[in-house]
Parts: sequence; structure tokens; C-alpha cells
Amino acid sequence: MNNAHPTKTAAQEYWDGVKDELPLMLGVMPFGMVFGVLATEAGLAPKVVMAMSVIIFGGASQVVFAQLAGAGASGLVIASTVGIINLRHALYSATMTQYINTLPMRWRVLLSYLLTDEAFFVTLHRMQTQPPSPFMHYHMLGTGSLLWIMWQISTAIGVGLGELIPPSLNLGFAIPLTFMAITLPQIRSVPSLVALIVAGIVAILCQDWPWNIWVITAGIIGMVAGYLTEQVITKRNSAGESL
Amino acid sequence: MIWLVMIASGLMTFAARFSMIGLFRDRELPKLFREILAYVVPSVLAAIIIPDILLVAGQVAVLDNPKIPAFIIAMIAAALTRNVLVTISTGMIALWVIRAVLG
Repeated sequence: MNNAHPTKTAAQEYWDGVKDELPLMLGVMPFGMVFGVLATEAGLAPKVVMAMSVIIFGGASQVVFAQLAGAGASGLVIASTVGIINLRHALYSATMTQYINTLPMRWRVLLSYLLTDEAFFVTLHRMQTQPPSPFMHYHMLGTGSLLWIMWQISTAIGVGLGELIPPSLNLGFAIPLTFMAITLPQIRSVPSLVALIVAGIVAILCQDWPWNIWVITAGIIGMVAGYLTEQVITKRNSAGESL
Repeated sequence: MIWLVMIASGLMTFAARFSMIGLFRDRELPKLFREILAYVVPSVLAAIIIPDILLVAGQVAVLDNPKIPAFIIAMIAAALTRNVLVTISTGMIALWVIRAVLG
């Protein structure tokens, strides 16, 4: 037993996950409330709105679902739009599998259900910055379960108190702020800056494409741009050394 | 009908999240795949954030768009404090103040 670096217990990993996720609730709660309000205004019944937060459990896609349903879009269009918006989670799935690919099936199913943007980014940070441990998947259970509970509560608040929340508060702005707050400190290299800029430009240029396909398109092109930049820099550095 | 659409949407969302976690059991991802995935965070977040900030009613709006200065102020707060709570609060307050000043 190495006392200098004792392995964290399952409970410690779980509570670390909860603690790491907690500050994000300042952004997630308004997000859930905005969804509850929008979905109710779009004409969806309260029980439908609540069930959606359990069945889909994906903020941005639920907002789009409500908007499309309110605009009278067909079920096929709604479901395929949600599917395409959430395709980015396959990228998170590929990233996270590197850390949890030895777990039993029930764990992988549960953690997949909880694999949202906010839980993924926070747990990925733990995976990358702390030593591996046999219980590190409990960290993801912590981030995911806190997010799940608060998402249900804030949806309910939005449904129940919708009319009391003035639109002039612009609570939806809390969403991009939350995403920026967790990522900006992590962007330190030229390739990741290139990935960010390229993905942003593609996302703007492809806005008119159908079914919100620009989310996954911009994400993948940004990743490839970051990778290629890294290759160029590595090549240039090794060329410089050989001179 | 709406329930059917919701369940189909939920299944597709779960399928995306489970895809690679379900596929890769006790196996490593190919190296190229891992190196590209290293940029998943800046890429996907930029794809979500940048249109959200720059677009007003589907059009790129730079002038008369209080979200841009408010977001920049929040970025400064994020760079200085590296604190999520401070960043979100600063951005929200900045947006309210700028909108109040611009009327």
C-alpha cells in the first residue's frame, strides 16, 4: 500500500464527481427551466415535457424537439433531428470507452445513458488529470447522477413556474456560458485553437443544412483540423531539429 | 403519437451514447482515431457555442448583438479566475447591464 498516493474509494470518486459537477448547476438549472418553459409554450402537456427529460435526457435536442413540435413538424423530422443533434455523443462515447471498456455491461449501459455534454467534459477532465483507479467510473456516476436529478428538477420548475420567469432575463444565455466556462481553461495549444475556430466557422456556414446536421459536421471537421495542425507542427519541429 | 416520437428520439440518443462504449469491450481504439478524438472538446463546443452567440434570428449579427460583448467579458472572467460560478454570473450580469444601458 502506497500511502503517498492512496487509491480513492468508490465513495470518494462518486462524491468528487458530484463536487466537480456542482458549479455547472448554475448554468444547467436555467437551461432546464428554459426548456420547461419553451416546451410548455409549444403546447406540450406537462407530463410529456417531464417524460422527455427522462427519455431523451439531452438539453439542446429537447429544446429543438419542443420548437419543431410547436411548429407542427412531422414525427419523422423531429426524431431524425434529435438523433442527428445527439450524434456528437458518439464522439464522447468513443472518448470515454478508453477509460471504461473493462466494465460489466450494466455499468456501460448506465454510464452511456448518463453521457451528456456536461457530465462528459467534467469526468474527462478527471480521467486526463488524475491517476487511473479501479473506481474511477464512479466519478462519472457522480457527475451524471447529479446532472440527471437537477435536470428533472429544473424541468419541473420551468413547467410549473413558466409564466413567472420573465423572458427578458435571457436565461438561455447561461448555456453557452457554461460550456465556455468549462472548456476555455483547457484550450492551451495551437491545434485546439485551430479546431475551435474551424468548427465555429463550419457551424455558421452550414446553418442552412437540414436537420441541424451542422452540429456533427462542424464537430468532426474541427477535430480533423486540430489533428492536421498537430501533424504539421510536429513535422516542422522535427525538421527544425535535423537542421 | 408524441410518445412514439419521444421514444424514437430517446433510443437514437442512447444509441449514439452507447455506440462506441458498447462496441469496444477490452479493446483499444485505433491510434489515428484516438489522436483525432483528442480535439473533441474544443470542436464540439465551438460548434454549439459560436452559432448560439453570433446568430440572431438565424442571421450573423455583430452590431446590435449584446451577447457578443457579454460573452467576451465572461471569457475574460474565465481566463482570470478559472471559476465556473464567477464566469457564468459575470456573463449573465454583463448581458443584463448591456441590454439595460442600450435600452
